[in-house]
Order: sequence, then structure tokens, then C-alpha cells
Amino acid sequence: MQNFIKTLIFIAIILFLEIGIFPHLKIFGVFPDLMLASVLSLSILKGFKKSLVWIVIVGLFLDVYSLNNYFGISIICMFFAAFTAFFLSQNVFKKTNIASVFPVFLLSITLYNLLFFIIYKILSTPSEFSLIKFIINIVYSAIAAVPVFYSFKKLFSAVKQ
Amino acid sequence: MKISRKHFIVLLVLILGLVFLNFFPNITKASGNFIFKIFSPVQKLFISLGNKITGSFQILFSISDLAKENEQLKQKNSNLELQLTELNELRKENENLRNALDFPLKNSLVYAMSSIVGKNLQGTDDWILINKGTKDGLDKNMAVVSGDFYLVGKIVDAGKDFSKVTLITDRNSMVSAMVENNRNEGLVQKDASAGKIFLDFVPKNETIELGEKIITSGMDNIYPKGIIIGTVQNIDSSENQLFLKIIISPGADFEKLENVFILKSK
Repeated sequence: MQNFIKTLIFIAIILFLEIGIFPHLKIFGVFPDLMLASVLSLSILKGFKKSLVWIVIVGLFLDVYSLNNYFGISIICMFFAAFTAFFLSQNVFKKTNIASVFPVFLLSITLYNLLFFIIYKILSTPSEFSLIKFIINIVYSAIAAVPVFYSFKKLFSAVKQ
Repeated sequence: MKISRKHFIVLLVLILGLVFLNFFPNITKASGNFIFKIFSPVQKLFISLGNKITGSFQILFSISDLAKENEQLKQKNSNLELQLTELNELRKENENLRNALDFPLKNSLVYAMSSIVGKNLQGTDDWILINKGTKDGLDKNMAVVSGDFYLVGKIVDAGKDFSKVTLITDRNSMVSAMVENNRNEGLVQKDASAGKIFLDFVPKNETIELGEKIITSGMDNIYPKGIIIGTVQNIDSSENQLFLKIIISPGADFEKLENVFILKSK
């Protein structure tokens, strides 16, 4: 329970950074998706099953909050991205150094954005697509996800002690 | 917090259940309204705190330019005061003429002030959430302007207590506009690759100068005529284009917006 509350407080701090600070640090009109980074970090550190609760909480919040035309899209995309992050961290990039963590984030965030884009493309009216923005969004989010990951790691090691 | 196989299945069913909710848009809208109501004070605090923190850093970095900027603003202020006096005179004259002709003002608008309680957290669409909705008389396609009367966007989704406003910098936004001086009309939209808004469909033979104001033309029946969108920042007249591509620097500072006005027809 202590772990859950600490995670919740930590996610609230990350939410503040995403809402209050990062909109001022846009690159080509894009700022990183820190909530996704949090869920992926949890999936890598605590395992996919244990992070499911957070996938539902964060995904549901984003879906309701974003007034998406289709409910559940964020949860589904986050579900697959978190599973990919967990799978890669367990089987391909087993170490927890930056060289291993960064590609895990890069690939799972790419999957998340691709799924999001494909689902929207199928369900809603087509909108203008910018490949540069798409790539910047993924790279920027992956870079920002690294400190989020290490902060979570530190948090959990502190809880263990 | 361990999750058993049973809980895992429960969560999966929950996710599928949430997807199933799409068949009941009223429920999703009502739950959205409920979450906004709870979360909006927190988010407003986050936005305002973030603005203060980044604002302090910006001040630190721009101290050397402040004196110069101050001088420019003083100059601008005296010019504006002069224009204001002239405009007041013209308004009085206009009112007198209208009274003489018995010709009432058309398209009168009222302004509803609203606070920004949310900003986009995902993807690249540019939108904000405001703390007024259908119960305050707001509806879809109402124009939204900043405190200093620059165009911000339009309402695309109105809930009971909250509304979603798409900014003019959104990739799907389109605004009928014109150049203030020579009245050339066109469409303001976003250049997704450059991340900037531009005025399209102005013929190449027209002479437009940098710094000229771009205003709404009112042709789209959404944005009332005469609202300032921004100023001309750059003009691209390269040969591979049929029309001038007039890059606009938006008048509203979208990053620092905290309050907006919604234009409602009387």
C-alpha cells in the first residue's frame, strides 16, 4: 500500500511537469508524453501484470480528459506498449543502464504512437499527418522517459530499504 | 501490490468494458464532465504554477533586453493612445450616422469570460479546456479570443460544465481571414511540417508587407469579422506555389493563456 501511495504521489508530480512545465519546452510544437513514460517505467521495473492497474488509471484519465472521440484508445495502446516494454526489458535489453533502457522506450513509445495513429485513422476522419512531428514526439518522449525511469527506480529502492 | 490471475482477468474485462462504453456516448460525456469537475482546480493550479516558474526563468534570461523593450513599448503605447482617440472619434461619428439613418448594429456580440483549466496532454493536437459549458450558454463553433482580443480558436465540444477549444494552431483548424490593409482574403491554416500557421490563397501579384495584421474575414460564419489573428512574419513566394504563403506570427500567446473570452451572438 505504501508503494501504491508513493507511486501515486510520484505520478502526480510527473503530471504537474507535463501540464505546467513541458508545454513551455516544446520542440516543433511537441512536448513529451510523461504519463506514458511513467506507465512504461512501471512495467519495466514492477512487471507488466503489476503495472496493469496504472495502465487502467492513467489510460482512463487520458481518455476522459482528452475528450477522445473513442473511449479506451489510450488504455489499449498503453496496454500493448507496456507489454512491449516489459517483454524487451526481460528478453532483449536486460540491463538497466541507459544504453538498454533508451531503446526499450524508443520502441515501445513508437508502438504506442503507431497504434494510436492507426486506430484514429481507421475510426475517424483523416487529418494532416506530419512525419517530422511524429518522429520528434517519439524521440523527445523517449529521452524524457529516461530520467522518469531512474526516478521511479530510486523511489522503489528507497521503499525497499 | 501483487496481482493474481483472477485480478488480471478482472482488469482485462474492465478494459473491454470501457471500450464497450463507446456505444453510450452520453455516459462517456457525463463521466468526462465529472472528472473535469474534480480535476480542474488541480490542473489550473499546475498551469499557473508552471507559468510562474517558467516566467521567472524567462525574466532572468531577458533582463538585458528589458530596457530596450520598455522603450519600444512606451513608443507603441503613445501610438496606440493616438489611434484610440481617433477611433473614439470615428465611433461617435459612426453612431451618429447610424442613428440618423436608423441603421442598428448587426452581429452584436457578448463576451463570456472563462478560465483555462486544462491543456492537451497527448499527441500534437492543440486544444485547451475551459471551465464553462452548455449550462453557461456555450455551444459548438463559438469563437474564443484572448484577454487582449486576439483570436484563440473555437469551441469544438461543449460539455455541461466544460468545453474543449481547438486553437488556431491546431492542424485541423481553418479560419477565413484577410490582410487588414489590402483586404485580400484567404484561409489561415497550419503548415504541419513547419509547425506554423499561414494565410493561403492570396494571389502572387499582391504586395503584402511584413508586420501587416491578418484579421478574420467572417466568411466562415464562425469567427466574427475583424478579430486580429496575428501579423505577417514571413512571405514565401517561391515558384512552385500557386499562391503566396504568408506565414503568420499569432497575436495570442498560447503558452501563457490563463483566461479567455467566448464570443456569443446576442
